[in-house]
Amino acid sequence: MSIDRNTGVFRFYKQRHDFGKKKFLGKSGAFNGEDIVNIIFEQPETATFLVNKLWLEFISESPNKAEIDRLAKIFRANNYEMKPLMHELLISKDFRRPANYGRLIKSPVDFIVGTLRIFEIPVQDGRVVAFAGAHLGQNLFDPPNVKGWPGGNEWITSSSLLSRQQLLERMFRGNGAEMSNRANGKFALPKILRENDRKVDLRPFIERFIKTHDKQKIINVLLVEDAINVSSTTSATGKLNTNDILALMSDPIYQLK
Amino acid sequence: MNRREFLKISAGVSAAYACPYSSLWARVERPKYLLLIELNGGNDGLNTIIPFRDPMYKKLRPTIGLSNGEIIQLSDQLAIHQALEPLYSLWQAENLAIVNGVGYENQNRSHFRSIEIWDTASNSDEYLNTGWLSRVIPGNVKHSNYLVDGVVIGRNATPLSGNNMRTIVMNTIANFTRQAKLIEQKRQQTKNPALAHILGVQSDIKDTAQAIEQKTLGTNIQIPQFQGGRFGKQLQEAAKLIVNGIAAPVIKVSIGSFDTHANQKGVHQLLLDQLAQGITSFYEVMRDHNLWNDVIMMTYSEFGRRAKQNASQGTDHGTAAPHFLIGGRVKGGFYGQQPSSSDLQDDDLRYTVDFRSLYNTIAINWWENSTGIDQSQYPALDLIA
Repeated sequence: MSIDRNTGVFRFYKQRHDFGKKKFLGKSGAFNGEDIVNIIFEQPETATFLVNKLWLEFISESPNKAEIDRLAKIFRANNYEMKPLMHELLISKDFRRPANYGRLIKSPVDFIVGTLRIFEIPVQDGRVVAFAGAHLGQNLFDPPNVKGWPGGNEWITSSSLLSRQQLLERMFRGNGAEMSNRANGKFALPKILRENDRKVDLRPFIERFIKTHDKQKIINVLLVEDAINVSSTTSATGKLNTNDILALMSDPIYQLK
Repeated sequence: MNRREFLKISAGVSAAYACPYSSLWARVERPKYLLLIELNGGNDGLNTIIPFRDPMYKKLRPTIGLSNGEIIQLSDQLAIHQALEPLYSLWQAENLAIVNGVGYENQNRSHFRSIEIWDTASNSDEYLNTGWLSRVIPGNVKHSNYLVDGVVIGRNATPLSGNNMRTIVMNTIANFTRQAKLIEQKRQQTKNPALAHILGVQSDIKDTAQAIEQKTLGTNIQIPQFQGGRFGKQLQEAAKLIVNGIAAPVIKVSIGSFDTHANQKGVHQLLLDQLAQGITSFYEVMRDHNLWNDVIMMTYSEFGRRAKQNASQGTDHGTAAPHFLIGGRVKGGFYGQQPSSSDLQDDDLRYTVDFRSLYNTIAINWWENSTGIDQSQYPALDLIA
């Protein structure tokens, strides 16, 4: 048995299959792949486990057990549909509680996609974004092992923090192509992709962002709490310039969500 | 005062020998370095240390087995791959210990899981979140010349992971110090653990980069170009750190990929070539700077490979394998027992030494002041003078 990577459907190999009875999570039978998945979803622990993961991703590093149980029940009651669960999660008191703001470190995907969205930068080739993620330690669909990315504080090491900073610097130097490659010569892109991307200059997007929002709004959008490097925000009187934006994004607070 | 501040203060004044804490370190006169070498991908033990008289060896390895012309005999029964020839003089000088049959109970054959077991020093069925060195170094291994707890050059920092470990990951020193300039640093107290982590990493980066620049400006000891390809370059960076006195109790490098499922012979030869050349270059620099007694090198890998070769002229994921400890204070020779190639378990070699015995050798016999990892169960090997 394997999985078709394009369709997500089971591939069944008759020759390799053992048709004998097997015991799995307390049940016995001659199971196929679908049966195994169904048995997994019959376990209440499955919902708790997944909700816990979402909590660590969206709310804080310290899950509230009673809330996890409540959300897990909703998840099961909705036949594991993500939408009702996410709705409940995102309107929950814990999600809204100020004490939980900025308690999590942005994953590379949060960091990159978030940055692109703040400045409303259209993505012409998703591969560029994916390569940037890989460079920062999150190669999409390729976690380090079956446990997934350790996440949380482990996103930030001396090496990945420096890479994040370098990526920002390159964005502001007006060569978006550099976002994805060359940082260490590690993720060299195919030549065509590089040449296409070399035309992308991110500075106009940043300038538009500055023009359309006032100073306080910009600070609020970029930083979830007060900047650590206070000088970067006080130095600017009136309008912010691109250097101020880079300074705000270079603040440790920009790493938080 | 926490540990970070303690080290900082101590490091700042130790030059004047006015530090009230220096007596704590009186016993340790010189910093000791572990150079940890990851053989990434699972190195084939049977073609590294070869039981050349064993008739089973030829049967298990009819085409990829090494002939007598491709090996260098070390004992009555065992030889090394000819690519490791540069290490022969270290063997003769009794600075090279070869520990045979290193592995663990219920070997896991997944690269990821098995390297995690090695990196965290867990049992096969146990999941730990911190590297083994985080249980050995912080609070135990102290010296004013240590800037941080560990430096990783290249990939995989897991053995040095853990909230109590100050670990720097870099590709080259030059790249690191250049990038560090982009970081603006403000010291600030916070109760937010995520922010505290970022600020901690930032200050590690800044402190390390600053100290590197100061030290290299002052001494600026140049070392010759290393052999051994990319691996050699990593070792060269490690040597620069140590020679300039700006290192950590552990520096980790890696070489690979040893995942030789197909057409193994040429690839394996090349990798062992680089391994031996890199180690030799490193040895020469340490010797020339009178540091050879202060360093120990140790190899590790997620597993050895299956005893029998496969149909693609390669070998698949297996179990036990030999590992090297090299240094001026190493008592050279063979340790552990070479696994039998006729008494196999599921067609695999049976391990004879648990890998945690290697870790305890470092923790207890090398650094001396650490309690090690379950040392009653996994005793340290007596191979350090």
